[in-house]
Amino acid sequence: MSTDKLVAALSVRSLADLIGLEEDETFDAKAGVGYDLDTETGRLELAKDVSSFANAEGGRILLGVVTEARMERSVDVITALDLMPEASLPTARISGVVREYLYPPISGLRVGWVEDVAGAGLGIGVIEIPRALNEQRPIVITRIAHDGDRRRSIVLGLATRGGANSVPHSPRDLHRLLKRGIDPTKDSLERIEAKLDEVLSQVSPAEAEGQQERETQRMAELRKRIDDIVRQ
Amino acid sequence: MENLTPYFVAVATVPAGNRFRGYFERLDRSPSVLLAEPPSLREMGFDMRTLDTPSLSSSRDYWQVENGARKVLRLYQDGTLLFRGEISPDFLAWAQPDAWFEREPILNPVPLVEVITTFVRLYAALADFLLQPPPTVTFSFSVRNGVLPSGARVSVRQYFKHGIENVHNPRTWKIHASEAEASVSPPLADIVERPDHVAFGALRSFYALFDAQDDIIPFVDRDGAAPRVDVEQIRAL
Repeated sequence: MSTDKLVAALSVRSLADLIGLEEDETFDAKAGVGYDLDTETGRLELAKDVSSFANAEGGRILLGVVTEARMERSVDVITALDLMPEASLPTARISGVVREYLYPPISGLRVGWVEDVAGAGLGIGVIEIPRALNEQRPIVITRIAHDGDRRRSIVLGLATRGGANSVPHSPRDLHRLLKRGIDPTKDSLERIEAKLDEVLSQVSPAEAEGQQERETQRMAELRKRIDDIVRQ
Repeated sequence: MENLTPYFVAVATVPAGNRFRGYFERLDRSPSVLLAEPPSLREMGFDMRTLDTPSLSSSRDYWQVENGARKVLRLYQDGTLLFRGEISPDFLAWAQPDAWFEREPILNPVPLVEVITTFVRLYAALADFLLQPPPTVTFSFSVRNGVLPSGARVSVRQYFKHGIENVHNPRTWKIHASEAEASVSPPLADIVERPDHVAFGALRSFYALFDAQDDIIPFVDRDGAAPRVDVEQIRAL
């Protein structure tokens, strides 16, 4: 499994053993320093990836490896190393972005540099992200807004790890998740409708007059459903 | 703003008047749980899995799971299953460089075959919950926004194990219109007992939208009485 090989390679610093590993739900791989921290887009991308691991089972982000998409599988595979000296890894900046853009703070998150066993002062960056404790979840992405002299944080989004991808929740999805937590009647309604379902199944279906009209209505409804899912 | 992203849409429907038993349940065996844990052929494949938790729409019309913009799956109480897959280098045009995709969007045959096969297999499992077993199920597979704003048309190509035969000028078959649909209506018994035969029939009708012959469809066993998708070949990838 990729995770075991990854941990083994890092523990003995044999970074060449990373070549051939496929990204999965436990690690992500980036070339160079991975994120352009001079841009808001780059900082948000880092925040999204870190929070998605914390909101799942934890994981690692490797910085300084090259990947390619595998044709037959829905993953990227590490194909080469792009080693860097320790001074090139913006450790403090990465930690700063994570502290500033994520809430609540993730306990136990580490940013480090692993030197290759071959020496020569080159290695890769590793961001180790623990699974967020239940009481801390979800880790949300925030943004700093300046209101005169005051700095305020507002929630921007939420991301979770889906296979080998960090998937941001859409506003609609986030809204649904928040509503689910404050809707006390939902479970009751679902139980009532389940019972109704049982009762209706015992009624014998009648041969329908106007079956053609029903079929036309059904096709129109189907078309509407398809249009709706395409528009989402 | 209008969404011009090209999509693949798969639909399974049954005649009017049917419904799923236990539709609103979240028990170990219920239709919604199948959305969370759909049948799959292998790890890290191109299939119906989203790793999402099923949620009921606010109108109570459908259960939905999604994986970002890549995949959306909806299940309706009347027996309808809808799947939307993004035609992009992130999913159905997997491994095609972005710049190339804008010039010539090509469906990767691996995800295309696997998605259609696992969609049929998912419905085969869901059919067990239909209150009235229908004589047939209608599957339709369509492309939406198949012509990009640049004028480039979504196309299909052959599968070559180590990439494509001619990197610079691959042989492709292009869709004729921005929106095109193919459908098959196999007996329920075939879907449940021989889903991979049904999947081949579906693929053949889909490839016909591009005027492509079915001999370019990969991972097919043509040795038996009727061709079927050979899932062991897919598992071995």
